[in-house]
Amino acid sequence: MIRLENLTKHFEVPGKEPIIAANNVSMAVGKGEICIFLGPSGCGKTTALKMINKLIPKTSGKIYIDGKDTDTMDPIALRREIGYVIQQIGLFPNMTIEANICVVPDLLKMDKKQSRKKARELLEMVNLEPNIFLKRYPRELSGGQQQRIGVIRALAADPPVMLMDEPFGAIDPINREVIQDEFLKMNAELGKTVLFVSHDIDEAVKMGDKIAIFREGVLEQCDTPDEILANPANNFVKEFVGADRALKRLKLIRVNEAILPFRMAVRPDDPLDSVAEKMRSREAHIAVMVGPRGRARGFITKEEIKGDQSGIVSEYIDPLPGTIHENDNLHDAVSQMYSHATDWMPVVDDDGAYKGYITQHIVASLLGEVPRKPGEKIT
Amino acid sequence: MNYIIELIRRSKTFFVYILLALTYLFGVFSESSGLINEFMDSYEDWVYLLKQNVIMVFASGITASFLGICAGILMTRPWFKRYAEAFSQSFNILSAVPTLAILAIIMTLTGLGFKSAFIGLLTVTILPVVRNTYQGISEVPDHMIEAASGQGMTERQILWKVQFPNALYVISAGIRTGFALNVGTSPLITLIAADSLGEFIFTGIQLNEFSSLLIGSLSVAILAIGTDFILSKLQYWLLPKGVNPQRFVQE
Repeated sequence: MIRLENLTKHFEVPGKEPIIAANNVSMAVGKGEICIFLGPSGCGKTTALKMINKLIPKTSGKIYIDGKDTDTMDPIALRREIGYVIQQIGLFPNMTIEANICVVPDLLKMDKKQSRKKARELLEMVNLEPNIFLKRYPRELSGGQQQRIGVIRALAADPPVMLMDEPFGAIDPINREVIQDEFLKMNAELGKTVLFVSHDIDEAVKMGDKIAIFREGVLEQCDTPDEILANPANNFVKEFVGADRALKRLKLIRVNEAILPFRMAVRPDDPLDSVAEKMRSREAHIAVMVGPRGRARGFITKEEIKGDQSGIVSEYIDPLPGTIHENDNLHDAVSQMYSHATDWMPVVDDDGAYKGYITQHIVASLLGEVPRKPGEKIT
Repeated sequence: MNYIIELIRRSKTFFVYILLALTYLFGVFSESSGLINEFMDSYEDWVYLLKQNVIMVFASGITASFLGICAGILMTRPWFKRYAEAFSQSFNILSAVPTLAILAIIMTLTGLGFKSAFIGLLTVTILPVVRNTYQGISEVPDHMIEAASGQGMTERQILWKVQFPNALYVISAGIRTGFALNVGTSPLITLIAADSLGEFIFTGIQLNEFSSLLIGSLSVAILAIGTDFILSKLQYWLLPKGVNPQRFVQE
């Protein structure tokens, strides 16, 4: 969808060597992908972004959007086809929210009725009530609300590509989480190709399908978040992603990818000897007792049934240490395990039905496997 | 009477009492000094001169506002940027020249009468308008311009859709200042043989006629306050809500 070829930018400084803000950057971003440009300040990530919509003229190299060379396109027409979001939001205080959202559709002389209808839909998507907000002015909105408008304004003319320059950088941490989730959800639906500048590794890991790490104008590594965390290309990347990169990877893996392949579910009235046999054959230490509707009720360990094997499961049951939802990520799961001082945790689904369990051992061995493909399960 | 009592009761400040006392004193004074008689005698002249003065103020003021806004916009254009500093400096120097001197200089160029007076008042009014227009437009934040051009606005669209509307409040403040200067200067144009309320003032000075002087100066004062009042109302109602600090919702 977007391809950069040997993109280079020199800023001329009178009387000195030119500053190289982008040095032979080549990369490609596929359709519908979110690619994060990540790096310390002054690394050229914003410059690279702004060259794509020609806000900064490039020195050399090529930029292709959808296979089309952008050199052949008029900058004004090009920018109208690319959504653009900036950190300072940049809503126009003289216009109502409605007019702000419809800036690009109006520039493109699209049908007014259609674009106003679209504005309503977009407002609903970011959970702002259209009847309240359409006729307001930017000044009357909070920072988080303003940036939501900033994002949907970029979407109003339905551009296939969006450029976002640290869009959530100025928003407080709690609101930022919310707005990030909203955006991910929205883009899962809209499928825009997004280039997103950030200096926050956590944001990048959360939002990105791909992360491009820059240093002093050089693209150091461009890969999936998991790959970058697992296999940093060099010391700079390693240091930039942080010493806790293994823990950050936990956020990328969902619980149901780490679930043990056998459920080890037993019924309260199962005889102990058959349960012991089952556990022995699977080399499991733990079996979870489920109720009539499949809910996890308690557990039983190998040690407890070692000696006396007459009787039934419900006589030996221990209370569960807690449960974890199958769609949570491993970061949350591990955190829960630590807070309950346990090394395993039963997994449940939306209805609370028992799905299997995860152990710290399996989490550790998952992180050991490098690289791991997304969606891959353990066998 | 009830209304006045109510008004006094409601006013939280002492202001109304003072105003009433002053009005009363003024009435007593004007009756005893023959000011009212004098005013009745020269009523026809007064109406004529007031009309002339108002016409002069609004004609020159409106022209100056228009020209001033044009000049101010011109100064912010990229191709003009490098001259803009020199341009605004020359405007500053011009505003340092005493008004009377400006009138005198213009008189030597265009002679006596309405034309010179018009040009003189225009020169006085245009300075704050140009300065405020230039400043208002230059002070629109860079990120707003970046957002505008990033969305594909042309240079001209950025000016008319973003920069100009957001500078409107500062520009309107400049126009108000300009008009205040204009009204304040307007009595002086009597000196170059144009009709204005200055006629009362200067006659009063020359003939040592206190009441004539007072009629002239009070009329000009009221004209000045009235003009500014009208302009402030226009400013309140004409400027769009989003850029009008007077109309921001109090939170």
